[in-house]
Amino acid sequence: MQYERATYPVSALALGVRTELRDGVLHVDCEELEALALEDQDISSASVRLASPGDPVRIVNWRDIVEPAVKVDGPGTVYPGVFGRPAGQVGAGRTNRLGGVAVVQCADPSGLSHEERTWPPLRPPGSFIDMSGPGGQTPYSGLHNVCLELEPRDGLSGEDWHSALGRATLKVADRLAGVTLDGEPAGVERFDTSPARAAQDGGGTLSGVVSIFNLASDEWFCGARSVLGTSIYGQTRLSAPWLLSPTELFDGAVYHSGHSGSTWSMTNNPVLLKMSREHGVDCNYLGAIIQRTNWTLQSEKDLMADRLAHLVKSLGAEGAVLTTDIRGQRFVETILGVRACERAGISTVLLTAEEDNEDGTAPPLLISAPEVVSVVSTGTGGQEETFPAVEKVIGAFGGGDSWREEQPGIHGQYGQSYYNDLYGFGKQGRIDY
Amino acid sequence: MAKEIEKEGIPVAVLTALPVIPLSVGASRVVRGVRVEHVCGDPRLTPDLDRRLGRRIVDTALEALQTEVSQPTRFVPPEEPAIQEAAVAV
Repeated sequence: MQYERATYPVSALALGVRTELRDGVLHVDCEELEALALEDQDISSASVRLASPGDPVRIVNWRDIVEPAVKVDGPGTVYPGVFGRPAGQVGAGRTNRLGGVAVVQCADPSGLSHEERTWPPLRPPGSFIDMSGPGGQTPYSGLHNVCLELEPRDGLSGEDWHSALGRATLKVADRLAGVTLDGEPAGVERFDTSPARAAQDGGGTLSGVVSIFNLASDEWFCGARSVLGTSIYGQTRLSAPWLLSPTELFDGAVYHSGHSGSTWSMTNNPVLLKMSREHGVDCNYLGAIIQRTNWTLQSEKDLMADRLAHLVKSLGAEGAVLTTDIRGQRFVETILGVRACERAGISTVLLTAEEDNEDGTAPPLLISAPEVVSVVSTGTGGQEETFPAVEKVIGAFGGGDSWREEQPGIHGQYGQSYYNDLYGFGKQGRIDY
Repeated sequence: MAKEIEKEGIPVAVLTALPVIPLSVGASRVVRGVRVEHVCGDPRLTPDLDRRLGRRIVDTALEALQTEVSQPTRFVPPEEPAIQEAAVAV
């Protein structure tokens, strides 16, 4: 597929009477965006607040992070298939994106029932984003964030609560992306995903490689047609491996409303970007495979690992880079996937965060296998220093005082899930060093 | 947790749908259950067969507790044809 990623970089946010992009400054009419969110009958309150890198700000209760983007050429709609958006294929043509900007969705789930509040897909309450200081090492700390504090109306089920948040967030993101329509991009990056190109440029000698993203499904807990958790074209259910073009992921084919990631982390995924840029130069990038995990029977996990290896082999790949999103029993599937690929003769690199090693007494991976021979660590996500007090808290919904104070450091992955460096783009990861 | 309890001299059998995890962490006795959502039973079965299945798994755990082991060891409950057929038929 031919794909153009047109970037409109933003260097600052400003409050404005009109939402527009002028000389790299995104002027935001907060009232306009709030009114847009409130058009949704299930949203009873909406407040827009701005946070930029270096600000003494802590963003709490965040649920998802979305990059404003819009398709200006080619079929489909960005973030396809979620919350009633068309599910037609994306990934071709041209997409305008606001570079360095994100819409951060904040909502307080305390109005939900206890059962819904403790659903696995919900992000733990201790997760926050510091825009400055030692905690400002997440990729989201480096973005100009248009934060949406949203309160869905009372009495909604968990499913409807999430749908309302998602609809309002995407409506605001769509509006922001609209500012690109009149201007010229600062840069257009062109991707040609066809295998022919690799054969031309590399004389057919480039090695075939794939990327494999293990993404958990919460079907076992939420049912087959839930809006909760990570979806592909809106589908959250457990399914056999999906083969996608990397450009589909740039257009938001994976929507990540869940525990450990964000939608932004897939549209800006460094593995996807790097491998797409190396396609036809250093490798023949054959595609992105999504392996759904969270099968609850050992034999199901074994079967899906075999299907994965079969797919990778059938594509003619010699190598694979495999990442994973959450730990626990999902890591069994991660290791089985690496093992199955290696046994099929595919050199497979596992890119993963480490478990808390409990001061050297525990192994860095929950389980492993002799076939797992290449592992790149993205750190533990721990933050030993304390998080200093901040001047302003976004997303607190009245509970801001305790969040404004100094927060304790976090040792390893199982602290407060402050930060999961899933794909190697944090400052604990190789890419920044 | 199993290892810590065993350090105090109390034998432990871990009942799990995914034996690979406790085996890799070094639990001494690991008993295979059914599925993550229902380790000791199967909602597809009639109450009577479900009870028999649960009994078999728990009996296996009790036998495991009485078995001397020198390394992480997997115990698999014996299969009963009536239960297997009923689960497949539903």
